Amino acid sequence: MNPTENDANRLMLDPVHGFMKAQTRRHFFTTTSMGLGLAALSSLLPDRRSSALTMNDPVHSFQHFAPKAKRAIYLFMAGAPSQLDMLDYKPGMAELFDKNLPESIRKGQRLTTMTSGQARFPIAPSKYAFSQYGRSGTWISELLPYHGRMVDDIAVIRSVHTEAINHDPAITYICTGNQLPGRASLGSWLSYGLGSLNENLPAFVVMTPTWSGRKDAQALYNRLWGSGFLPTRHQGVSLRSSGDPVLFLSNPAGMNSHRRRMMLDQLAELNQLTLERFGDPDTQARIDQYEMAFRMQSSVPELTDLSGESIQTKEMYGPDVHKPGTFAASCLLARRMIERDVRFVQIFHRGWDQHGNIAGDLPNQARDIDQPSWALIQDLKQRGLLEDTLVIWGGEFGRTIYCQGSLTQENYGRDHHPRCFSMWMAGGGIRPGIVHGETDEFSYNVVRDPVHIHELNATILHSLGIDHRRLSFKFQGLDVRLTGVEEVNPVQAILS
Amino acid sequence: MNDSQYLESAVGFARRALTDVSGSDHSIAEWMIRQALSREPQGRDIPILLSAYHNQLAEFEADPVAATQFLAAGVFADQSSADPSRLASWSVVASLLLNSDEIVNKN
Repeated sequence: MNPTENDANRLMLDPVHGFMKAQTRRHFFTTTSMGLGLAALSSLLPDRRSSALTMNDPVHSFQHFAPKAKRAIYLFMAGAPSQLDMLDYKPGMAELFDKNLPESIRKGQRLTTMTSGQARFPIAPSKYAFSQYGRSGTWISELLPYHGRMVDDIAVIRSVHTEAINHDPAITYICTGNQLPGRASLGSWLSYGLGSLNENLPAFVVMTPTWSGRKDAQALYNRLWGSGFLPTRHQGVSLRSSGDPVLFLSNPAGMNSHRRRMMLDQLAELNQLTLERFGDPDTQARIDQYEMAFRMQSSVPELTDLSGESIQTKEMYGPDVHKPGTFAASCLLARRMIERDVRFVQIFHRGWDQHGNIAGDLPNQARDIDQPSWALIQDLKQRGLLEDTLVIWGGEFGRTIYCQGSLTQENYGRDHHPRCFSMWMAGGGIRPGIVHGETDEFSYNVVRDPVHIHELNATILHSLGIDHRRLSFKFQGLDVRLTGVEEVNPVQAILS
Repeated sequence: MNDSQYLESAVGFARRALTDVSGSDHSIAEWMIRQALSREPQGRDIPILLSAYHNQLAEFEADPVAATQFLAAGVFADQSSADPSRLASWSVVASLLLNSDEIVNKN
């Protein structure tokens, strides 16, 4: 284990032990580095980093058992896509058009204030046709034709549920395990628990592509990929969707890589003094980040250069792949990151909050993601990467069967619905070609095999070889876990 | 570190150092630490900065065009009578200091 990383963690967990370690190290640096002449050494080896600054730590103690997946991609549909119009087929609704949602189904459950004042809760059947696909015969909406082609590669979960009913708490909940801000995100837990497999790129990369639906979409927040109480080096690095992927990554005019390297070595020396003086793990994080930024000066341009991708590959992702910052381009980039062993890639596609105008908005949103999601799975499969890469698709909650606002056969809207929604998973550790869970005929409540979002996260961790009960971090007197304090289990039925 | 505004600040800081401090390189490094960190230099602070300065100076003297390019980050080079290689080298030292953890992090 890398000594500096170890120290930084120990400093947090056990200040006394950390202080003693720091004393020992200070003693070491005083007697050896200065004694031998670190300056002389670094001038002999100007391009070699001090081994004390090695950032990554591939063998980490939270790998509890052999993983099925080594890396993961999370296609996050921010705003909450309508399960009723995409993945959860409810044929019985057509004849109940504009009838009231029975109270026997709703059972007085709470609604958002956006519809709780409505005089009626008229049923809005999906206007989209569904068909069965694949050997599994899974029903998929006409909005997702490419999903139809890959149903035998994925496990559809129709029974995910959450408690949160509004976007901010709900997306914070599913991404960090708690509705209140301040916890560590899934990706930062993975970085912390498993370490990085590529020391030239961050372990956790986030992309926030463009979208085609309504432009006044829900906001995203840094905390969705933040590290919370974990050391800050584990937070996700968000790539910009246009222009330079990382701002100010390039050296300015007149500064070459050799001179930058010399300067960073001396900056690291100075920061090392600060670390020895105060023992703050954030100082270690800063030292590491400068080293990472230096390595990213060459690794990021190489990563984002799509010119080496074949025409066939690009065509698979669809025409949007040629526009930087689209979901399609992000999916292709995600595959390139996975090839380079980035541990976790999360793509937040916005614009899924269809309170109204489903007919105008939803087809555009679906078109953004349908073909690229399929292409990503096929591309990973063709390269032999799908077997040890987990792919997850879904949003923060579902949408109501009843209409928000005016209802016609042609158009309608749907409010937030936390009691059931659909997601899919594929790849390493996941049984392909299955449907798990079932909702009632109104897609209002789960009637079979409910999957709470904590169980979903436990399942993700399980696929990556982590026992979610044993991935914890001491914070404010608690052993904090991504999956909360109550007993939850991975969903065995969808695991291969 | 490469943000143009932050870079310009470093060049400005270096220009001030060369204008305000008359004395040895050691005095310049000492002044920079006092200005930037609001404390007296300790331990290896000054040796680190001086070593950074001399490394950069050797490089910029061998490539004066690079020094001029680097200083173009701001308007301060025009206001200084200092030799461009010298000003550029102190600017890199200033940038180093302004990007140190002690400045950037509120611990």
